[in-house]
This record gives sequence, C-alpha cells and structure tokens, in this order.
Amino acid sequence: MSDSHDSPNFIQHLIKLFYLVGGVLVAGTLITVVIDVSFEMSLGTAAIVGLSIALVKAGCVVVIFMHYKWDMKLIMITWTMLLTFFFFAGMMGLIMWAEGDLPRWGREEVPIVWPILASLLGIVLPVSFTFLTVKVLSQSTAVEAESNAEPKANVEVLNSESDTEPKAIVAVAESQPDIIKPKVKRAVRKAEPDTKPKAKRAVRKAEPDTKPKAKRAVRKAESDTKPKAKRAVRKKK
Amino acid sequence: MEIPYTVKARPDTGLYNGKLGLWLFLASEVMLFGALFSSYVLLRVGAADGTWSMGLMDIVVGAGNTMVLIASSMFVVLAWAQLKLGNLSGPWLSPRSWGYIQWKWATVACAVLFLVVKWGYEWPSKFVHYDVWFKDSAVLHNKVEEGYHYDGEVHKDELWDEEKDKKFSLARLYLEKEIYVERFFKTYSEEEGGSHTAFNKAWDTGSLALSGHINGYEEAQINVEVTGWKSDSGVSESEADKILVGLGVSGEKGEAKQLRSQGGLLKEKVGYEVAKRAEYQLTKAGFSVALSVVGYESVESHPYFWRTGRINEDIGGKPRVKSILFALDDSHHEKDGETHHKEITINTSDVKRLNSYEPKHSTFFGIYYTITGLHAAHVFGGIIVMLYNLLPIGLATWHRDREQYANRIECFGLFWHFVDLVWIFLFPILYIL
Repeated sequence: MSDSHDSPNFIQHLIKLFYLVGGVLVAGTLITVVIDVSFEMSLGTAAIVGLSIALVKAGCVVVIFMHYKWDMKLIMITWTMLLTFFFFAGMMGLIMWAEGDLPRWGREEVPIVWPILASLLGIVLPVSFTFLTVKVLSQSTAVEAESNAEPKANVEVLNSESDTEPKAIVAVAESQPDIIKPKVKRAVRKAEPDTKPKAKRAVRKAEPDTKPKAKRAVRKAESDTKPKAKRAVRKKK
Repeated sequence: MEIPYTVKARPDTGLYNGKLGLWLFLASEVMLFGALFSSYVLLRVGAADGTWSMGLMDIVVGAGNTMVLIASSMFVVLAWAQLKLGNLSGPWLSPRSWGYIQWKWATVACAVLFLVVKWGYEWPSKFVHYDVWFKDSAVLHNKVEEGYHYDGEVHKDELWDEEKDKKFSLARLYLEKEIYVERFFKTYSEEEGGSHTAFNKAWDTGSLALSGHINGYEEAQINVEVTGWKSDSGVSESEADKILVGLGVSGEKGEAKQLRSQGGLLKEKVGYEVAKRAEYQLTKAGFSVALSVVGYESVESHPYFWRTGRINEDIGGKPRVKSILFALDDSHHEKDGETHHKEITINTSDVKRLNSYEPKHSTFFGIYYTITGLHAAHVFGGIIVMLYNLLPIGLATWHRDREQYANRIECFGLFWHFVDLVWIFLFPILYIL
C-alpha cells in the first residue's frame, strides 16, 4: 500500500473493511456448502456455481486483503500478474492442442495443423513473454505512484513556465522521472551543463535522509583508501 | 551495507523491493498451482462415468477448514493494521484492543489448527478407509446381499422401480440409489441415464468396489524352519551360531551348532513380522529358511495402507491374510442399542484388488494428495515465518525500523492471502465438483 494511505483514520477504515470481507468470505463458503448439500446438480452446473462463488471470494481477498485496490496504479504488479495469466493460459491451450485431449471436442483425430500451430506457439509464447517482461521491468516511465500526485498538472507547469529556474526543473525531473516529456527532457539537458553544482545541491537537498551513520560509513571506507588514492580523492574534491 | 528500498518505494517500480519480489514469487506460484488445477480439471472432465471417486470427501470438515483459513487470512491483515497504528501488543483478555502480537498468534493458531485437521484427521482417516474389488461378480452380488439385506424394512417401498418397470433386489436398489450413484456417478448431465447405465454395467461385470473399514483380519501364524547352512557364504560358524542365539536358540549344549548343521524348527507359530525378520537375518548369514503357515490368528485392528499384494503374500503356498472383517459404508444398523456398520467377512482369495484411499487408489486421490500436500507445505512454511517474526530475533527489526517491519509483515500477508486464495479454489474443486 502506498504511503499516502498510512493515516490512522484510513487504517481504521481498512479494519472495518477487513471485517466486512471476512464476513463475505464466510458467507460464500456457507452458501457453497448449502447449495451442494441441498441441490442435485450436474457437473457443469456445480462447476459454474462453485467456481463463481470462489471467484467472488478470491476477488475480495485480492482487492481488499492484498491491498490491490490501493496498489492498482502500480502497473508493475498488474503487468506481472497479467503476463503470468496470459502465459499460463497460453501454455494450457498449447498443451490441450498438442495433445488433442480437450474432452468432447467432437473430433476423433487431431488434424496435423494443431500440432504445428502448437509448436509455433511453443516458441512464440515464451519469447513474447520474456520480451514483454524485460520491457516492462526495464522501463523507467512505467510507474504512476500515488505519491506523484497530479503529474499531468506538473508537466503543464513545466511546459508553460519557460522561465522556470533550471534548479526547479531538475528537482521536479528527479522526483518524477515517469512524467518527463521530450520537451522537459530538453529543458533539463539545457539546464544541466551549467548547473551541475546546483543540481548536485538539489540532489543533496532532495535526499535529506542521508543518514549520518551512512556518511560515517563512507568516511570510514575512504579512510581505508591507500595514500595515493587519498590524494587522488582530495585532488578531485 | 544498507539494503536499499526496504522502506521507501523505488522510483522506477513504485514499490519497495520486497513487495515487488513477493509479487514475482506469487506469479511463479500461480503457474505452479495453475498447472495442477488445470491438470485436475482436465482429468475430471475427461473421466468416464463411474471412474472418478467423488463423494468421498467430507464437505463439512472441508468447509470447517476453509473457515479456519479465512479467519487466519483476516487475522493477518488485522495484525498488519495494528502495526501501522503502532500498536505492537495489547491486553490478551480484551480482543477489541488486541495488538499485532495477539492477532499474529491467532493467525498461527488457525494455521496450526488447519494442519492438525488436515494431517491429523483428514488424511489418516482416508488411510484406513478401503475399497475392495472382487475377482468374480457373483461374490460381489452375494456380499452386497449379505451386507445390505437386513435393511429391507427401511427401503421396502423402493423394491419396485417404476421407471424400468422391473423389480430389483433390495440390496442392489439400495446400493444404486444411496451409495454408488451418489459417490461415483455424479455426472447426470452428460447423458440421460448415463450414470445408471454405467452402474448396471459395473454391477454386471463385478467391477464395482465395496467401500468400508477393515475392523479385523485373520493373519497367518508362521513356523520358521532352518533347512541348511552354506559354509561358503562368507560367514564363520561362530558368527552364524551367534545369529541363531540372537534369534532365541539356547547357547548351551551346542544347540545352535546342532541347528546349523542339521537344521530344524527355529520359531513356532510366530507373527508375520517376527518370521520375516528372522528369515532376513538368517538368509544374510547363509542359512536356508522355510516359512510355513500353521494356522491363522484373529486380530482386531485397523491396518494402514493395506494393499492386494500384502494380504495375498504367499507364505509357503498360503496367503498371509486369510480373511478380513469389512465394515461396510452406509450400512448402519442397531445392535445392542448402538449404531454399527454391518460387518461382512471377505476371503482374501476372492479379492482382486484392495486399496486404502491413498494416492495409489485412483487418479483422484493421486492429484488430491499432491495439491493438498503442496498447499499444506505452504501453510507449514508460513507458520515458521510467522514464528520467526514473533520471536525477539524477528521483533528486533520493529525496534530498529518500524516501517521496515510493517513492510515485512505486509509481504508475509501477501503470501498468506495467496495460500488462502489457493484453498478458496481447492475447496469447490475437490469437495464439490
């Protein structure tokens, strides 16, 4: 869950929701049992009824218990699970086609086209899955975290205020890399050459949480450096 | 070295690293369980009438365990919520004020209860529940009559089947209506009357099984006889004699030496285990051994994992088990003011196959144990993680960095909810479909 939903009031609201969902899950289970015991159903009907109730229950668990309702904007999760689902569904289809074993499909023999198609899919599916996964994991513009509130408005500000201080642009660009449009990127690049020290300060300012302990650790690490290296570091500084 | 992004979200993913890793792990779990689910559904849908062992699951127990897991899933989010509120621990006697530690222990209790029911009741009860198939259909028909005929008064009105305009034997009709159609032929929609057709065929060919418990059996009493000893077996005479002494032969007066050189009876009327152990030790020491059945002893016991090969094991030309006392399912009757299952005696020489409800029993049980076992292993792993988080070593993180600890518990919660999700789908698939 993102940090913006950490207030005590919201957590209290969540607790009520958790109880509600718990009730829904219990009720779903009871309904399933009562239906199974009370009615004589065919396999198909039993499958539809049983799995529909299970789907509702699973939806409640994912959306509320697993906080997906509040993490929905994090497309990294969505893509991970969607790709998994498609890959899985594809592989299952592949197996059924390859084996020609889908029950009661109305064909006695498997036409040659199915194994060929299945073989092709066997290559295409993993390749496309890998490609998409790598693409999603490597893109830096994918995130739409809730902490970056109203990014569109910020871009508009950047676009309209041509006289914006380069320092401010860099700060915004660093805090919201996902919303940088080419125009903004150009502005940042233009601002970068002559504002490097400034940008460094901006970065330092943007990272106020660099802990003294960490600093000490860095200093300690530096102290281990050999004299020659020390001189080089001093010179660089 | 400080591990980055354990608390703050990474700018490119919007998640702290642990959470992204956990979601990727869950994706792999979806693939694992998904493959098993798909296999189950494919096998189930493709199973011919009468070949899927349905109706053997106790839906009440299954539903109860589902409730327990649902409760644990709720407790784990409540524990996380209390952490976010900064409430690590509250008074035990006031559940309304429970903190993280109390809710987490409640989760552990639910998880343990789930496993106790699963591994302490559900599985063991299946290991002592048997199906028996006969070599001859006539034996099946006789045993059914013997087992269910007494119940005639109760089912008198069912003697005439109007639909078929035919009179059936009481036992057969009872069986058809009350047991097997419910249990093995839950496929009414596939074909009108398909279940009954399949049943009739199975009845005529004798391929139906009788279900029940083994309440007792007649097991062989065996004589163990030494018939010779090979001096070139690599075991010295003194070592061979020591083996004999170890098996109960008196060390005095050269009895062991006499038995080794001339042969003779070593053990008289001993049980199967003792006889087989003696045979093993003697054979290793170069002795030739003969086992012979000299009688049968009645044993009142519920055996585990008995199979056809075991009861029919040939010992000197006779079976290890002569007969079994079989308490039939759905055959309750009053005896001495108490309800009993009707017991019939089955000669093992008539048995074609005997199997408890173990994985080997059928495809259904094979996949049932695989999926529920894998799921239970996840629950077990979850218990270990929860205990770690509750112990001082785990709680140290809370005292060092509260946000990091809350994130850790959130990650565990995601895993636990996934375990709950798997069961949510397992329940209807295994217990209802």
